[in-house]
Amino acid sequence: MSADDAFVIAGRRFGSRLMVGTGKYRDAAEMRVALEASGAEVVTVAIGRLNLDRPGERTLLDEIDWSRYFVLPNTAGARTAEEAVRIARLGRAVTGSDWVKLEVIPDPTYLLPDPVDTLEAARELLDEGFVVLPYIHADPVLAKRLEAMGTATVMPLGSPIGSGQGLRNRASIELIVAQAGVPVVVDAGIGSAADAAEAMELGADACLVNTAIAQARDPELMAHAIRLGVEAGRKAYHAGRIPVRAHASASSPLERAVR
Amino acid sequence: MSHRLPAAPWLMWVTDGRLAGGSGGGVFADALAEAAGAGLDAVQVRARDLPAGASLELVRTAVSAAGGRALVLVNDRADIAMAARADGVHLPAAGLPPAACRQLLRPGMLLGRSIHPPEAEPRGDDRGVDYLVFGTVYATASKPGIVPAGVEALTAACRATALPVLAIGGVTAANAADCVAAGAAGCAVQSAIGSAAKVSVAVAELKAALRSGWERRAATACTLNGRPYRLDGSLLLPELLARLGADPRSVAVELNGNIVDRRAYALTAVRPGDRLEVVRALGGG
Repeated sequence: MSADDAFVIAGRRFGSRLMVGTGKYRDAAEMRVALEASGAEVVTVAIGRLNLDRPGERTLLDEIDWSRYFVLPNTAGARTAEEAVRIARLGRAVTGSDWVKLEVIPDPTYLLPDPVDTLEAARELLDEGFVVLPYIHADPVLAKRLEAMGTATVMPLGSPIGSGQGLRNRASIELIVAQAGVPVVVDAGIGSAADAAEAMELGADACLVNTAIAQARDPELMAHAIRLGVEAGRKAYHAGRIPVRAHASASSPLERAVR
Repeated sequence: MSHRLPAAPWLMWVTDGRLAGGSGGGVFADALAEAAGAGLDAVQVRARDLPAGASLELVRTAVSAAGGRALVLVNDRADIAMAARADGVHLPAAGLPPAACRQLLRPGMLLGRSIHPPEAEPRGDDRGVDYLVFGTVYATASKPGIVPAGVEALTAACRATALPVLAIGGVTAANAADCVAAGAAGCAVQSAIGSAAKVSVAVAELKAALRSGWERRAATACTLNGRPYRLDGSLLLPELLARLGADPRSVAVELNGNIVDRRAYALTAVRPGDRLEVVRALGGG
């Protein structure tokens, strides 16, 4: 493994290959320590209407020292390309960042991304100068189309959002990794450290994790575990695993066995 | 397939099972086709007394008569809405919890819910609900003995939610404008259409009343995060944000579809009729 295993998105270097979300935490204190323990730099936020009944309310996000993190607004809630573009523009106005995690999700039951509208929204946002990180199904052809269009990453899901099912589509993710010229970030479905390690061993460049940390019994500990999972998986990927064999292969020299 | 809510202000006809049932099916189909032609936005088929088979027939009749011009929503029965390929389901206050019903529906189908005072406050579980129907607003022959909630309660119900709220109960062409001016996204009527001498005339009059209420509202209020917000004259943005108690540095403002540059807040006036969104960052993945 080269000493410089840089992780670069759109020309920007990041020290951590784990990105984390800020949803579903039970309280601000848990989130703060979990973010710290994750070692993450990229932290996602959603954009939503101000609560007019309690406009001055402090939210969990008010408890975060944002100078320490790179904020990545998402387009959660968008059901169409048009809504996604609108939310992305609002996200830029709120956060001051022109990076956007693009997600277009028409149906709240399965929370699966709409490939057609994602492509359409990506085109529009790229025209407007956004750095676009699209959340997609693990579709290698779609990933290539987005990359060709100019997206900064592709972010295939491992399994449905918040499901913790891990990687249900290893083969597709391997294909995406094999073809990609931009970073591949596995987003959604990671349930624990093992899932994160698996994704990284397959060659993913990073993982984005929210529910698995926020809803763990101990979010701080899980954040650290997943951080180690990401690091372990990355090292194993570079180290080059042995091929899988059908039969055993002795580790000790049988020809010199004492019998 | 995606079913979109009509643009406000919209009109819903709630059918009476007796009118629509049995041999009345043909009469109902004709009336609905006529109403849809005259601008009716949605019909809510309510046939609680019918067995499921007859209900299904009735809803199929409605879907065909509406012909895509008006939405067809089925009262209470998600199964019948699915089988008849209706546009959605309308849940009575004592119906299925919305989340449970949502799981039964095809993606994109609409889901509405009735709310009644005194428990008119929208519940916390309105995720997945597309619109609300609030009533009884005015005294009505179809609900004798019920004390009408009145227009002020309607306003409160509209303020308490970002979902579109339709007014129901004693709504006629004479008072529909007041409901919309008070904050409703439209009205739901039963006898004002069902018992009309001429359905198309009744629908046209109700729609005209809704539009005039909408214009009246546009003259006195802006729409703020989907809810009516009363404005007496125009207001500069910093003043409005201060009134809301919002920190200008942590929000973004969209005025009539355009994001307002923070440096231009002091020069930006909000006027009645404007559509305003004030957003902020929230926890998300």
